[in-house]
Amino acid sequence: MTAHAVREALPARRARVRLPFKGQTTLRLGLAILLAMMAVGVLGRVALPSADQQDLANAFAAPGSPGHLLGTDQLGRDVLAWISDGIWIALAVALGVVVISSVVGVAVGLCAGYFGGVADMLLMRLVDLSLAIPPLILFLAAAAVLRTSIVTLILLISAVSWLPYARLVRSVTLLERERGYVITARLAGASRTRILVGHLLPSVSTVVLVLASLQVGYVLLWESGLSFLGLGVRPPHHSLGYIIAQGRDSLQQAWWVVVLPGAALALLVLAANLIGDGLRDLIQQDVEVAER
Amino acid sequence: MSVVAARSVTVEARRGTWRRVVDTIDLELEPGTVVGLVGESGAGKTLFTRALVGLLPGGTRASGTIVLGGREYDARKGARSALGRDAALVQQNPITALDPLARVRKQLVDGVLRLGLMKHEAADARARELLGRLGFNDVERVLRLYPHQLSGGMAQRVCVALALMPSPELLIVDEPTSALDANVRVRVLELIRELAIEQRAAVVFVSHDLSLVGRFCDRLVVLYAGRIVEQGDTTDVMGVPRHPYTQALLGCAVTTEAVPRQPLTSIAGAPPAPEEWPAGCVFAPRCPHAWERCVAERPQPTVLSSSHQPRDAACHLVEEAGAAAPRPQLVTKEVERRA
Amino acid sequence: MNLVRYLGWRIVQGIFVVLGAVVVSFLITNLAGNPSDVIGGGLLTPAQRAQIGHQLGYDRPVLVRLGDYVTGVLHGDFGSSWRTGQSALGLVLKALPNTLILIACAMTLALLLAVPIALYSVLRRETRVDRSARATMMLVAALPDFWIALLLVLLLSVNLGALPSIGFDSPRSLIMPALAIGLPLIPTSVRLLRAALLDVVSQDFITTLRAKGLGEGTIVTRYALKHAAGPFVTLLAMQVGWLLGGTIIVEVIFAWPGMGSLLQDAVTNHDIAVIQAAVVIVATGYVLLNLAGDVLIALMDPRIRVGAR
Repeated sequence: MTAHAVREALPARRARVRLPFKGQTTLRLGLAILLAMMAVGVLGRVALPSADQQDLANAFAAPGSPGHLLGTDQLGRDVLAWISDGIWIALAVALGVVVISSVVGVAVGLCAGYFGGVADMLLMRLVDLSLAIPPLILFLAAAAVLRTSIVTLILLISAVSWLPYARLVRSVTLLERERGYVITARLAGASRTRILVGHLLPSVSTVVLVLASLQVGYVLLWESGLSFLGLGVRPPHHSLGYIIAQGRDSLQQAWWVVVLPGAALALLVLAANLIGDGLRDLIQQDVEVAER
Repeated sequence: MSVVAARSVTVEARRGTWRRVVDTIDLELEPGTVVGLVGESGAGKTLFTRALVGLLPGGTRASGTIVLGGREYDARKGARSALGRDAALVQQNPITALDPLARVRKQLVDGVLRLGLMKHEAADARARELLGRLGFNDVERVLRLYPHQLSGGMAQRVCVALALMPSPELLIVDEPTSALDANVRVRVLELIRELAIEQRAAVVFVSHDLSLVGRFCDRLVVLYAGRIVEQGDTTDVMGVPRHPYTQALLGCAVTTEAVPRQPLTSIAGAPPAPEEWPAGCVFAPRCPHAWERCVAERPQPTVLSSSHQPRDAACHLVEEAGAAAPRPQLVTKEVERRA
Repeated sequence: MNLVRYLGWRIVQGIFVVLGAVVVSFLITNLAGNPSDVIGGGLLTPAQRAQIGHQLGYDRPVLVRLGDYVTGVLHGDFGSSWRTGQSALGLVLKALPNTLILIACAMTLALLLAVPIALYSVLRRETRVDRSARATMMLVAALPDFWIALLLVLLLSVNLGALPSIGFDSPRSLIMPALAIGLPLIPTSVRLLRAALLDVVSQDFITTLRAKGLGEGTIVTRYALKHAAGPFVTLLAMQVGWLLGGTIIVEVIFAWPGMGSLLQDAVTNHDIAVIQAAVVIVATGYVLLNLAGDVLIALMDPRIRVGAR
């Protein structure tokens, strides 16, 4: 069997994270940062006072003050405790959005790519439309008429975020559906569901994973941005965006209330981007190795 | 003008480890002559020419010396600094070789202008002169055109003009007509040859098309798996090929003299990849005449005539038979090979 | 492809997008049906809710209201701000130029830095400086724009008192908001331009340029850049389009009298008409910007401009 025929017979782009190429440093760094942040989050649950606990006597304590490693805000609330809760909220929202939008997006993308026709056209028009309207505006518009809770926030962001998945999966499906192994399955009489789920789905899984990790960064920024404006996550939950907004008025006296949660947020976004880039590099190299 | 030469030029490519893809080539080029560099795809022709001018792609490196314009260049960098002055290159695909956003006139003159070789008027005049010599009737109009408005033949002639602007001593033309229609091919090559001779440039004409090479080249250098297996005057090499590979190549050539309905002979097998180069003669695995010595020992070029132009073939058979012996029979059926 | 036909098709597409935006903006703001709850803060009796709902027309079927709205839009009537009574469209159009100025400055700033960085990155590929530059880009890309804005305010306004941090009184007011918006744009711009340049540099005509004796630096800056401009401008136009709605938070922080602040106010006041108008205008802006980008590219490319032989 020639090399070409062998390639055609096998599904492409299975993620085999094995070779120590350049993607790995990036990936490792991203994961390290993520784990460090999660550790901070755990620390908060376990060892710190509640972020709600006000201590007016100790308001505006600077970082390094006894009992408050990162200081307190104008109500004496411990910044580190808030950051640690904020990390969990951010990750929870990100996870929720990624799961929902990827599931919906992949499903729609697979169908659009495989079956084509009206569904496909509709999808592409939706994609065009989504490019024209920045998501933040839509979120704001929705916030004007809804009372946002964490759940509605997740649904809202997902409603916009599923489109990139659909578009990506659609284009990959269009390519993959002409490949040897799919045609073979079709000829062998496999049901459409089986082809979609059993063959095409694994092929798109790797690129979806890369997209998901890159999307996490956006979700984190949107959530915190909305919370900053008071339209996202509000007390009793503790969002990083919310406390940054709180600290804004007292910027001169207590810079740490703004700077430190923001740094935590930036680190989370950085971790997500590094992981996404690292995965993408690894998969790219995997394709190159397979080609050789 | 002085001699143009390549001395012991070797090119290695990195596939895992560094492997030789072009092996110790010595070549002397006379100004005003056209030397045809022939061989199968992958024989190393293009890599060799790129090494000469320092345009090797990533993952490759060269060693040896190049003599050009009275100076010596280390092949590690090649004669890169001589490009655009003493050395020039014409690529295979003329339309993509031209900048799609610039008019013909600008592309012709901007090289020599930037290098400070000529002033504006001189460059303009030379561009017009070259285009005129290359058969363009309406030179003024062509100068204003964009590459996408040119036909393949026109574009290739523009590329040739471009290359000849600085009156280079060395002109490399790399399969210049493979992208052209058959009817334009001959005309373009005639013009290249005419102009090159007139400008006293040494031309290296890279091709895998023997019939073309036979028509337009003064000398032939036959390359196989990175080594010169035979070289000499064109009429000599094509009339009396001494190396079995050359013989086989000529046997493969489709010419108008071929008898109809005779099967096209091709050479069984394929050239070995650089990782698989054997210790002995590199053609031995496919050679119908190979015997033990061929497998064991690499043949050195046997000089076949004492004229000042090299005429040699690297083959044990030839060595054993001597310079004056008649050529071995061209065997078209399988001869029993080495055990 | 024929330039005129191509543009015509793009305009048609654009119209569809704008209409789609009209529909979407309507749907979103009507997600919860009668908004009197939200407007009244949940303190209304059912009768009061019903009355307000009737006043605002919410007791009619959705499609009818959508039809009314679309017809209104086609006549240029986006309704009025229920708070101030001013025309929604008027309010949006008044705020738009301020946002545009901000975006223009931010973009210029970003490009001034991004282009040299991208060029350097291509010429000195994979050197240590290049790698550290790319790592820095990664870091910058992770910084939230509102955080950058607040940091700038902290450093330049609060501590140094150097720059105004509220409103749009003078050109100096532009500096910090433009920085806050422009900085996060740099990493993406560098990446796009670098990719476009690398793509160009692998093409045949670059070999010809080298064969003419031109140096890599000259080739990349004077030739490749022109060729990379095409794909780069397309993506850039998209980015700018996104910015139209992406300046919201920074505008709020700096009390910049642009669309962002307007939107924020509208949301706080549940001023639906204004929000709807804003969405449609932003979408229209995006369409026009992309169109402009395409026209620009088409004009720059002689293959489209001059046509085949």
